[in-house]
Amino acid sequence: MRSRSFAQAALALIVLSLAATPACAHVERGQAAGFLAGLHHPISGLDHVLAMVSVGLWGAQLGPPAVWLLPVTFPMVMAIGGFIGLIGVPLPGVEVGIALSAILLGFVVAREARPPLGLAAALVGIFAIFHGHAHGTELPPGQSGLTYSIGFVIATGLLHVTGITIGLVHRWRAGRIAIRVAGGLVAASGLVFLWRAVA
Amino acid sequence: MKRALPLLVAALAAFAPRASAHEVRPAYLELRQTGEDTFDVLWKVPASGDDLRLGLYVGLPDGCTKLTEPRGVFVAGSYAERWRVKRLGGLSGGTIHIAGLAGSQTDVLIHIHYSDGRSETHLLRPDTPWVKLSGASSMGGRALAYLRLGIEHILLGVDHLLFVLGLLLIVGNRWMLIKTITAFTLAHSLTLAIATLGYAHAPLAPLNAAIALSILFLGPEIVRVWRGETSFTIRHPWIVAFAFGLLHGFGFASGLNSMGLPKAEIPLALFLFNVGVEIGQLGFVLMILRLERSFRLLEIRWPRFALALPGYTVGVLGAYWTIQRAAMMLAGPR
Amino acid sequence: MRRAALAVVLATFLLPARADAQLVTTGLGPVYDGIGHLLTTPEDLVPALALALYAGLRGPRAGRRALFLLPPAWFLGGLVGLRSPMTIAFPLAAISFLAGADSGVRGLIGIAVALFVVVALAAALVVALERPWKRIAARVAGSWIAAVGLLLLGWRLRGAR
Repeated sequence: MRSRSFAQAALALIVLSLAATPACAHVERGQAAGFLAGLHHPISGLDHVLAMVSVGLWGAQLGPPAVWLLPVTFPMVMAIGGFIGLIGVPLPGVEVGIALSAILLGFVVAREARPPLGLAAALVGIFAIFHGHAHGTELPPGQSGLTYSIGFVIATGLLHVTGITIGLVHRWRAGRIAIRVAGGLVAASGLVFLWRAVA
Repeated sequence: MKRALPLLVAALAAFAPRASAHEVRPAYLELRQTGEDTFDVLWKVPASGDDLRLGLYVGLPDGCTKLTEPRGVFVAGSYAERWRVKRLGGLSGGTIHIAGLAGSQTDVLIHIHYSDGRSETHLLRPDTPWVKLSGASSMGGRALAYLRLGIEHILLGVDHLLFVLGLLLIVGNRWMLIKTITAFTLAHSLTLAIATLGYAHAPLAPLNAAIALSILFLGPEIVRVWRGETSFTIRHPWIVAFAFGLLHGFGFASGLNSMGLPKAEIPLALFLFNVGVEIGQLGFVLMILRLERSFRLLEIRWPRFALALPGYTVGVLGAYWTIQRAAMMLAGPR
Repeated sequence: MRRAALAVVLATFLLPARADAQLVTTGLGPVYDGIGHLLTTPEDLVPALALALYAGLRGPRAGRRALFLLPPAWFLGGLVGLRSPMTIAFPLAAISFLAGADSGVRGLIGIAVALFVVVALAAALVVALERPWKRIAARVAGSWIAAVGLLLLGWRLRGAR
């Protein structure tokens, strides 16, 4: 049930923002391209996808209020990371940070760790900065930054929603185990990413 | 439904005068290939009376030479010109430009028939008064042009929208609403088809006056609804919607200039134009219903005058148009 | 947090728009151009939506206020902008559009009407949400809008250099 709310909100946003586009499609080609590019971007890298789905999984494990607080925190802080990147502040070790985020987030999901809410949000937030910094600056030339950002944020949010939806199996015992296994797999692939980033 | 939408109507009223001045009949340009390099040109522009026509002029692709001089006549509300041109190598790659379109409020439908059976269709509008000919337009492109023509026609036809709004103000419940809108749709689709297929024809001036009268007719009925009175219209709004819908269908037909369309194309054009009209109309109805619901959810208490505004707008504009159009009709063709 | 987010969004949209603000031509005259402009210009539409969501969460009273204050304010701002091309911030995209489209007051009317409809629908949508999780969804949507605003601020600052 809960995940439907996010999906609905996201859908409403998409529909509202695109409702009138067809009528004037010929003027808005740049905008639509920006939106699609933004939508596509977070999905294009496996490291990002895994980290963001893990956030959703963890939220589902922790239950309310974390289940909605974490997916709010991540896009917000990620936007801050993107902002930092856009104004040209360098962030060393972005790739390492992203790989570390996959390892750690996978680890907490595998452990089903229950730190205080603030700590959980802070952990998610720190990694979100890396993700935002890596993504926010990669706008294809000639496309609208705003619609790119909208697509970017929506795609990120939808990845969280995906994680939460998968996390719905948490109510069953087998499901709980499956989620923890999935977390372990994310952590393992994070190790691979780290290896690639360093080597 | 009674406590609906004063502001929206105020806004509608604000641009109604302009919209009614809009020339809803598109101009029509036809090029029919008669030989390897020769084409017969037919150019029809909306006109009023015997000496007034819209100031639209065709600019054919560079390299076109006139084989005959244009000969024009005024017929039934339009001015038609025919001549023959020659262009070595055919028309493809050339650009057609309509002078005067950019400053106008009308559309131009262009049909080109090639001798091998292919055809090409374009809809030119004030924001792009030119088109580069490609050789043949795809089925999808033509379909889109007709659909778009239909949507445009209803969105600019403030008189039609106002009639629908009047119906919405009269109907009591959801079931009645569905019946009424369906009746209106059926009726105007029927006459639109009849008029487009050429079985019947309604002269424009009396038709416009009658459409205005149908709007005026709804005004007093809305007042009766306020007073809690009843009448035939209030008990059976769908019958009234059907009857007047027949009239409005003839009005829609004027937006689809069928006389120039190729015979084979008429069913497609008619169907898609009609679909476009219904899309616009349904969109309007849904928007009104959603807005009305939104107002209820936001617990807006409208002042009395605001509640009365939609009804009075329907009545007053209906009366104004009736008088204006009746005067135009009586003045007749000069 | 919510207030801060709103401030970020508003601040972002107060920044001068880029000069390439697009011009919408629907071919249906200036009123429809104005409507089309609002609906296809995220710079204008998104903050309006955010405001409507926020007002709707605060209840019908706040929703009513937003509904009857925002469109007239927008309209007035646009009028001022028509008279003098000074950079009054909020309806700036509207001004740049109008300067190009030459459709003047009628375009502004279109924008205001579309704004009225958008705010009414969005605010009522949120007011009608009774289940807590649906209200949370609206707040999540708000946070996403704030994130978009923050990113846009970054784009603007970068474009300025």
